[in-house]
Amino acid sequence: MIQINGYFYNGKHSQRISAKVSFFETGQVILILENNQLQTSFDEIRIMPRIANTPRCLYFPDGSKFETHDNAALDNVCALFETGIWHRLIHKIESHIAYVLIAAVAALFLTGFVIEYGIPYAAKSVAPKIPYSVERDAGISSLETLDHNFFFKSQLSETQITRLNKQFQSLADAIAPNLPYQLLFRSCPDLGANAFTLPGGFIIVTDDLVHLAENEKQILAVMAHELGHVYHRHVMRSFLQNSVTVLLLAGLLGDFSSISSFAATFPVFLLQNHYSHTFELEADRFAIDALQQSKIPIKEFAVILFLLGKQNPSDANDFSYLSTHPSTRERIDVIEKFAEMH
Amino acid sequence: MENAPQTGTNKNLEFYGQGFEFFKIWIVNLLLTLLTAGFYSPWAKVRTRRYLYGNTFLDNSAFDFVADPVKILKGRIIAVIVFILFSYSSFLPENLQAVTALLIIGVIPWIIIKSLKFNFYNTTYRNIRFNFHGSYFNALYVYILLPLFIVFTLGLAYPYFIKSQKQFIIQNSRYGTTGFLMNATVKAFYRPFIMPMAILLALANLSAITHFNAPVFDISSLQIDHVIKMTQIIGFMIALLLVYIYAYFYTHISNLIINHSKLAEYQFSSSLHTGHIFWLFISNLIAIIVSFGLLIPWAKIRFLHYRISCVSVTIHDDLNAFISAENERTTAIAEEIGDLFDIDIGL
Repeated sequence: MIQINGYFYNGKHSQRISAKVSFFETGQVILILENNQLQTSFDEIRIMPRIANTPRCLYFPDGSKFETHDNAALDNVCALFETGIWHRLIHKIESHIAYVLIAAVAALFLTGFVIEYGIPYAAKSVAPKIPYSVERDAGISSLETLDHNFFFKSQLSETQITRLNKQFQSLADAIAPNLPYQLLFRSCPDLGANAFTLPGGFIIVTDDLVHLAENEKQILAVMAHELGHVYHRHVMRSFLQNSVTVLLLAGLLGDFSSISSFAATFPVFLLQNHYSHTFELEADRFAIDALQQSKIPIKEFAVILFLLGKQNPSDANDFSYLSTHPSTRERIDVIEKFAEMH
Repeated sequence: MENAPQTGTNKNLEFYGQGFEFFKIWIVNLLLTLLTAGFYSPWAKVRTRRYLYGNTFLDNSAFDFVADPVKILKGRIIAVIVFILFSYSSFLPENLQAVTALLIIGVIPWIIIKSLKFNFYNTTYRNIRFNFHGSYFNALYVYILLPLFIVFTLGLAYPYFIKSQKQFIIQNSRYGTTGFLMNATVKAFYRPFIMPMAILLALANLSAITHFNAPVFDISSLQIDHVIKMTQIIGFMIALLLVYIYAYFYTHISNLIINHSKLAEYQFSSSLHTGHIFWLFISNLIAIIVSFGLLIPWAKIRFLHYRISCVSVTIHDDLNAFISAENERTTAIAEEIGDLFDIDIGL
């Protein structure tokens, strides 16, 4: 027979009453109050799982509650009647430091694994299944907004635009035939020399980039890099990865308010940059392949990157985790190494 | 027995949670949630709440959280589906996007009401449940219309919004059959904003002046590096100032609300200090970043400990007189749907 001291709350009013509960091997359970006794059986009561050393309670069938600080005694009761095995196991893990340390390391590794490989792999598998038309609509509306508010009509000559289009077309056909894309030129002094990809295969090149380049091969190199983004569905994958990461971190850490949740969004920001580094390097790789196929010297790609790097000096050597691109230095190194080997 | 005179005893809320103890629960929660691809998360949430509530004492009795994790699981699955649909709505054609947006706006107050109801109903003190009775239209006004109004008034209506929101939650809450009251005035909510607004305005003017001077600099890399470093230092100091201002708001608004809250004749009071809150914010943030998140549970316990121990209740006799609102249980269907979204909309 195990007897436990505690308090009784009948659930009808907020009064606290001293009480004892006795558990018998037969399964009989007796609640002893000052001038009253209640009898029930073990099957009818509900013992709550243990949480560290918080007051533990059990509920009677009528919703009344018995609460005690004597967790050890209630643990014995549960062991005696062989109930709550899962809960006792979880509590055991939570209370032994060795298990906790193992759990901590395991959790860190698992999280790292999921973020580094799991999520990108899932995004990579799902992205091709989403039809281009879905992306295209988003791209069209983005382009409209940009054209309306931000871009000006390109000042390049018609002949130059046609020539660049034709050259790019043959480059694209050689490396990725039938890949839907659309090459567009815009004037945007605020952006300087730049090129980027919108969802749906829209590749935008600024006039300033055309002026910055020493020759047309360098412009093609940049366009090939952007085509790499289109080919690998980076826009869609990036979107998928970022939203899942938000979900993941929200689910894991989201029960905490204010400062903790701000601190939780900070790693997402870092992660987004980390993911986009991978995409940029993948696009660089595609560009190298495309240039090779079209017999354009790889060196030209390195040169244009260098020129772009000079235009934005802070980009060149910045601590790369905080920026969306890997440092220009890093990218040029990769390209030059490749150029040496081939 | 004579009735006690009006001056009652001031009992502080007590919090006995410990950082390391909570870390153990937290890390196991994290691991199991990862291993089960999130399915364990309702149990994790309940365990966390029970630990925090179970370590919060008033007059030697603890609070408790009694939600059924299975119900939370159902709600979370539906919430994830809705989240996915919402995220990808940007890929829909234009007219459908508008419809989706309207739908979502219409559903938000309902979600807020149901989730408040779920969280209050499953919180108990001495085995008597709390409850929440806000109406949909009230929630629509407070959470959708007022924010729009803030935009129209260029932010001037913000203190009024805060007051309305807190009052909406508190005045519709009950412990058993007894309702809570919050009687702070709108004017009182405007007062904490005066000093910070003055500072922010001064800052804005300052940055306008420095911005105009920028183009004079030479475009050689040395100069630009220098400018960047200066900007970073100034940016850092401004960030600190902003955190301090946030701490200031947090302290004054929390104190204001709690000091004007009552349950029947029991008066609440709160004595937070801005400096201490600011210190907690900064040190917690640094600790979390430096520890890659491992110190999150410690930070949470630390913050809660201060926050909770600054709250007290003036008790005139004892806390035995509250009666359970037995017939307040919602119907089975409403409860199923109602348990769906356990979003945390805290005070």
